[in-house]
Amino acid sequence: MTASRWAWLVGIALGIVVVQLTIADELSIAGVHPELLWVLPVAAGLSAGAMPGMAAGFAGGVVADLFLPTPFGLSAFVGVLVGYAMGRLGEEGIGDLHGSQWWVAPSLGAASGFAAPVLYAVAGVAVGHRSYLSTTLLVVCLLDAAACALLVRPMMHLTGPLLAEDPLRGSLEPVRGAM
Amino acid sequence: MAKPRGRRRLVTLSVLLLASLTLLALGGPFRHTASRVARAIVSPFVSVVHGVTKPIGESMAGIFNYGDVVNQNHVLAKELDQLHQAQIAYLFQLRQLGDVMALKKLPFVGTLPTVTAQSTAQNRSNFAATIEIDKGTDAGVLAGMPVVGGGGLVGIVTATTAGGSTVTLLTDPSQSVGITFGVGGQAYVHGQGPSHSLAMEFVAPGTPVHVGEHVFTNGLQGGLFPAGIPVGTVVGTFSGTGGAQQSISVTPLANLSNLAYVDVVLWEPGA
Repeated sequence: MTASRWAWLVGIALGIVVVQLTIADELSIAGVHPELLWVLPVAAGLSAGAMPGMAAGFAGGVVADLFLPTPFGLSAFVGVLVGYAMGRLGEEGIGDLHGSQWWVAPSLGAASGFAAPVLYAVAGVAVGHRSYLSTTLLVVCLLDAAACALLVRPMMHLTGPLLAEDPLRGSLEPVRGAM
Repeated sequence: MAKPRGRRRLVTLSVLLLASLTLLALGGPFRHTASRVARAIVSPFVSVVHGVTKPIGESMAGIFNYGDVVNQNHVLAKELDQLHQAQIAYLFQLRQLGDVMALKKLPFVGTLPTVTAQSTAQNRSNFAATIEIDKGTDAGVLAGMPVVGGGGLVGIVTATTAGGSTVTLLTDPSQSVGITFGVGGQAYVHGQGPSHSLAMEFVAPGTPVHVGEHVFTNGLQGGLFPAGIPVGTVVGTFSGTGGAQQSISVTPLANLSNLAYVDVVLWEPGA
C-alpha cells in the first residue's frame, strides 16, 4: 500500500462520513440507523484483495471513530477483520465485478454488513461495554446488511481502480498471477 | 510466491489489529486532536449537503404529517397556557426551596447558571445514547456538567471541543444518577438503553413508592449532580418474593428522543 492509496482511503472514508451524517443518520428505524463504514472494507477487499481490504477497514474505522462517542479503535479493529475476510474471497475472484454473477457481491456485502455489528458488539463487550449486546443489535445488523448490499457494487467501481496494484490489468490480476 | 504473499498478509493483519488495539488503549489524547481536525474538514461539506437534503426531508415530512403538526400545535398552545399558570406558583416554591438547600449547604439547580445549546445530532452511534450540542469549551461547557431540557434531566456532558460537546443521555447504560423520592427516600436510577425506561435500584422491599411519583436528583452523589433536577416519573413497581430490593421502572421526564434545545448547567462535579 502506497502513501497515495492510504490518502485515497482516508478521503473516501471522510466522504462516507459526510453521507452518514447527512443522510444515513436520518434514516432511523426503531431508534437505530444504517452504518455505512463497513461498505468500504467490503468493497476494497472484494475489488482489490486482502491488503487493500484491511487498509480500508483500518482507515475507515479510525476516521469513523473520530465522529463516534464509542471506544476509539473499535471500528478499526472490526474493519480490519472484515477487510481481510472479504479480501481473501476477492483474491479468489469471488464477488468480482466482471467475473461473478451480479448478485454475489451484494450477497457478500449483506453477510458482512450483518456480521460486522455482531463482531463490533462482541469486541465492545470484551473491552467492558456489556450493553452493546442488546435487543436492538438485530435491527442494527439488518440495516447494516441492507446498506452494504445496496452500496457495495458502486463502491467497488470506485475502490477497484484506485486501489488496484495494476489498474490496466484489472485489480486482481497481480494477485492471481502470484498464485 | 504464494507463501511469502500469505505471510505478508498475515503480518499486515497482525500489525493492523495491534495498531487498532493500541488506539483502543491509548486513543484519548490523539483522538481529541484528530477528531477536531476531522470535524473541521468535514463540517463545510456536511453543511452544504444538509442545505440540500434538509429542506427536501422537512417538506416531505410536512406534506405527509400536516394533520399531526396542526394537532400538536393545538396541544402545545394549551400546555403553554397551563405552564404559564404553574410557573408563577413554581417560582415562589423555588425561592423557598433554594433557601432551604442553602441552609443545608447542598447545591441546588435553581440557583445555578446555565447555557442554552442546540442539539445538532442524536445517537451518532447505534451503541451509545448520546446527543451532540453546539456549545463547547468556548461557552464554558466542560465534561461532567449536567444537561437539562424538556422538563427534566437529559444527561451529562462527556466530551467537549471548542464549539461543541457530546452529551451522554440518562438512558445510556453507562449512566447512573442518585435520586430522592417520596419523603426522604434515596436511591439510584440507571440507564438501560435508548428505548428502555430507567431502572431504580437500592429500594428495600416495603418502601412506599407510588406510580406517578416524580424523582429528583439528590445532590449527594459526591456532587455529581446538583439537587433538585427532576429526573423522571415512576411508571411501575414490582416487589418479588424474597427479593432484596424492589424492581422499579422510571420514565425520564425529558423527551429524550426529540431534543431540539437543552440547557447545560454550569456546574462542575464536586464543586
